[in-house]
Amino acid sequence: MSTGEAAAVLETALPTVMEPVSSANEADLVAGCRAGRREAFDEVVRRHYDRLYRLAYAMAGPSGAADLTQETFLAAVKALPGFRGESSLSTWLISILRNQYTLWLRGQRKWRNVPLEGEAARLPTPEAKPMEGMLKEIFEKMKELPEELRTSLVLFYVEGLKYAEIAEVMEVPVGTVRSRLFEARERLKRRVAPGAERSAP
Amino acid sequence: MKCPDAREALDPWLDGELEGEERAALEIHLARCGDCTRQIDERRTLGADVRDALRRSLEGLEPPAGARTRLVDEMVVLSRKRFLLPARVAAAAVAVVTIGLVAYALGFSRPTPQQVEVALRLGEREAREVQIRRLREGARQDLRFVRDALEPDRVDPAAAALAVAASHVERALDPHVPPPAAPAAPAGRLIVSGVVNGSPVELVQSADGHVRLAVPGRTLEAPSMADLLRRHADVCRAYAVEGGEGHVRVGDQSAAVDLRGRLDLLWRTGRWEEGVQWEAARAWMEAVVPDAQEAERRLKELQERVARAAQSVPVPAVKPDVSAALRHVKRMTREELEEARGRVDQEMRRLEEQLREMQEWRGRAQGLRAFAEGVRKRN
Repeated sequence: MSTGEAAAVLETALPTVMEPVSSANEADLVAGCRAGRREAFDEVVRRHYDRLYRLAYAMAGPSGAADLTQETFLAAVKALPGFRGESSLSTWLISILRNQYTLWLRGQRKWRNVPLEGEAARLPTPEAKPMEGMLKEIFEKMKELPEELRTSLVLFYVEGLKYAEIAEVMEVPVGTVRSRLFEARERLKRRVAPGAERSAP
Repeated sequence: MKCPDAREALDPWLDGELEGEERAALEIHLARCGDCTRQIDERRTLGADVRDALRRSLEGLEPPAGARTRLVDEMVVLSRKRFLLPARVAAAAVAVVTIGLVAYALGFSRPTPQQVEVALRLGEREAREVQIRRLREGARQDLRFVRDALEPDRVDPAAAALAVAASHVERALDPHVPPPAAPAAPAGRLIVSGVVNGSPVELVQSADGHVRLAVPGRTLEAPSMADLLRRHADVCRAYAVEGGEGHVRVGDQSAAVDLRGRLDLLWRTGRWEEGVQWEAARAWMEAVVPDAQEAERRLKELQERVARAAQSVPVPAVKPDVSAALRHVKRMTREELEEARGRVDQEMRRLEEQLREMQEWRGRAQGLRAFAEGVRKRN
């Protein structure tokens, strides 16, 4: 085969541009991703990156936010064949983020799909504004909560999910979400304001 | 409902997540229990503090710049690795296998889709560069033909026009070509003055093509008429200033040097005016063909032939050498691959523009060649 023919063959192997994806509905977008279309991935990232990054930052802090977000999207690509469209793409991505977060917490670095080559590939993570006073205290205490309590709070307060949606993401019954949120707030209350315990029954 | 249950239901109630019977039961309990009612504010404040702490920790947070593009690249590569063979149509599957075979035949492992993409682009860039080079070379050959058609002692207007036009194209093809030596007799100095809308206007073009336009309140200067008209289009329009090298007009006042003087000015300013070429052709034709009607017919014929020659510039077919590009790409690290992709995209845009320009210059050169053929035969 001549190189010209090889080039022609190579060209047909690349995905072709079809209709614009910016206005595509979710099913089309997922189909585009399954076909490996760059514009579809572009659009998914455009729609969901910032929100997932915020969540990742709230979960893992500045040191892990960028990597965690990246790994979430890459894990989503791998898991795409299993996405049935029963939940929204957003909820599905958040549940993947949560799984990646638990892996990240275990510190086994199993969560990394693509090894980063050297320090140059490491993404710089901009820090949010520092906090002071009581809020800082609450925030510090929050870091010490068990993962499932902390994640419940983040999903509820940062992402604004309903109890039922949190249940879906964390794959537990709604009642468990409710008791986790109660437990989390109780622990923060006791740690933040020990005086409040006196009025408890 | 008893107090312990009520305490646990307070949060969901405040969160708007308590429904039906449980909600009713809690509200009945709260109506009767002062202790639990006093808890409402505390739970609400606690919830608000937790929410504020979380939101404040994210205030002003900006996702890292550039992360998205790199991420999309990785997603594309990862997805093609995973889905390309099973999910795509048969033709694509065959193509992928063929890539593998070609790669194998070339003596290296199967390239990743990203490597293939960059290799294709590198191949295309190479092909574009070859096309531009060939167009330029073709134009130079045309100009050599034009030069050969001009005998050294030929001084008729057609020959003079050809020489000026050819040097104009030569300078465009190669910016390093030194400007031609000035002819012995400089063209005359042109001065036109007039009153436009009640304002006095004066336009002067000197022997080296330089122009000076004086209008009320300001004086504008430019190295050529073309420059003046381009750079100060609004002023020229406002004061009805028109013309070209060697012929200028202000309102209804105009002045011009002869054809020779205009060719001289074009030579000096490095410009070209298509009209001058045909003026020269007409002068030459009238001199060699005594019959006015016959001269006119031949001139028209020549114009058509030149226009056809100038318009038919096919882009030379060049096959991209993807195998060489693949070999090159295979040696790149991931970062180099990324960088190459970005760079090639930029260069391709520049090359496309150059290609279009070069097509135009090749057209001009072909037109001049046709013109030279036309005015040589009858000499």
